[in-house]
Amino acid sequence: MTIDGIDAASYGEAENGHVLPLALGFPFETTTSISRMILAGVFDQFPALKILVAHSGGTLPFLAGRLDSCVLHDPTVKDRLKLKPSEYLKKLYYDAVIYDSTALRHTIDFAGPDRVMFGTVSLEAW
Amino acid sequence: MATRQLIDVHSHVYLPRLVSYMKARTTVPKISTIANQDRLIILPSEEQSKSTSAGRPIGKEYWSIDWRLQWMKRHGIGHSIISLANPWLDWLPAGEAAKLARELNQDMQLICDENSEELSAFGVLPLHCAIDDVLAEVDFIKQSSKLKGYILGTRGSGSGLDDKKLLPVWKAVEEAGLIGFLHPHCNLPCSQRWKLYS
Repeated sequence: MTIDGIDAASYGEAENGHVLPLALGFPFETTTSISRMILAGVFDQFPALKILVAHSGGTLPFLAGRLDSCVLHDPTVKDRLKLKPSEYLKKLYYDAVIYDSTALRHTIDFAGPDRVMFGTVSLEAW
Repeated sequence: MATRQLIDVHSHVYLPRLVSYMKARTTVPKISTIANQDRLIILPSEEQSKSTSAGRPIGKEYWSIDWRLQWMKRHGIGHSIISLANPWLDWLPAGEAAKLARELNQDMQLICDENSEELSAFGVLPLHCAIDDVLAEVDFIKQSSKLKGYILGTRGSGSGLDDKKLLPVWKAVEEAGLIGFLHPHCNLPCSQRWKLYS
C-alpha cells in the first residue's frame, strides 16, 4: 500500500525558497513520526520513554483530537492501543518554539505548563 | 532560596569537529565558501532549486561556544542544553557515523564540563549503525554527567521511528532515563529525501 506524503510536486513549480518545506513539511514530518510511534505501540511497550518534541510538536497538539477520532473509527487499529493517541501525546514534552502566542497557549493548554519548555534555536546572530 | 533561571532546551550548535568535516565535503550536506562567505547547504533537495541552492550564511553563532555564552548572557538565559543541529550524522556511512558519534559526544561532555553552570547537552546516537554501536553510545551518554539525553531525527535506522529494529534502543534509553529530543529535518516523504544524500 502506498500512502502519499507531501512530495516536491505538491509545493508547485514557483520558486518559493525554503518556505513551504520548512514551514509546512517539517511540522508534518514531526507529526507523522510521533504518530507512527504511537500507532506501533512504542509508548505502550515503554511507558517511561521520555521524548521532548521540537517546535511544539509540529501540529500534534492541534490534531490530537482528530487522531483519536480516526483511531476510534478504524477497524485496523481501534483495539490495538491501551490509550487514546492524545493520552500518549500528553505524556510527552514540547518546546515553546512555535512563533505564535495562540499556538503556544494551545500547546500549554493541551500538555500542561510543566511539559512545555523554553527554547530559542540559538542560531540567530546577535 | 533557589534562584530561578531561564533554561533553553532548544539550542543548536555545529561543533567545530563537525564543521571541519562538512567543510571537506563537496556534496550535500556541506559547508561551502561562496563569495568569501561560508554557506551551510544541508537539506536533501535544496541544491536542485535556484532559490535555495546557495544554502544559508553560517557564522560563529553556529559553532562558537564563546559566542553562545555571550549570547546567553545578553538574552538572560542562565543555562542551555545544547544539541547538534540537523542533519546530525544520519547521512554518513554507518562505520564513520559510529566513530564520529563517540567523538562528538566526548566533545560535548568536555565543552559542558568547561562551562558547567551554563551548559549541558543532548548527545547523538548513530541510529542507522549496528545495534551494538547504538547501545554502546546509549551507555556512553548515560555515563557522561553532562549529557542529559540524545538528539533524535525522524529517520531512525532508515525506516522511521516505528521500526522494530529500534525496540532495543527504546528499551535502553528508557532504562537509562535519557530524554530524546525529536527534531525534524527531511520534510515529507522522508525515505525518498534521504536517498538524495547518496
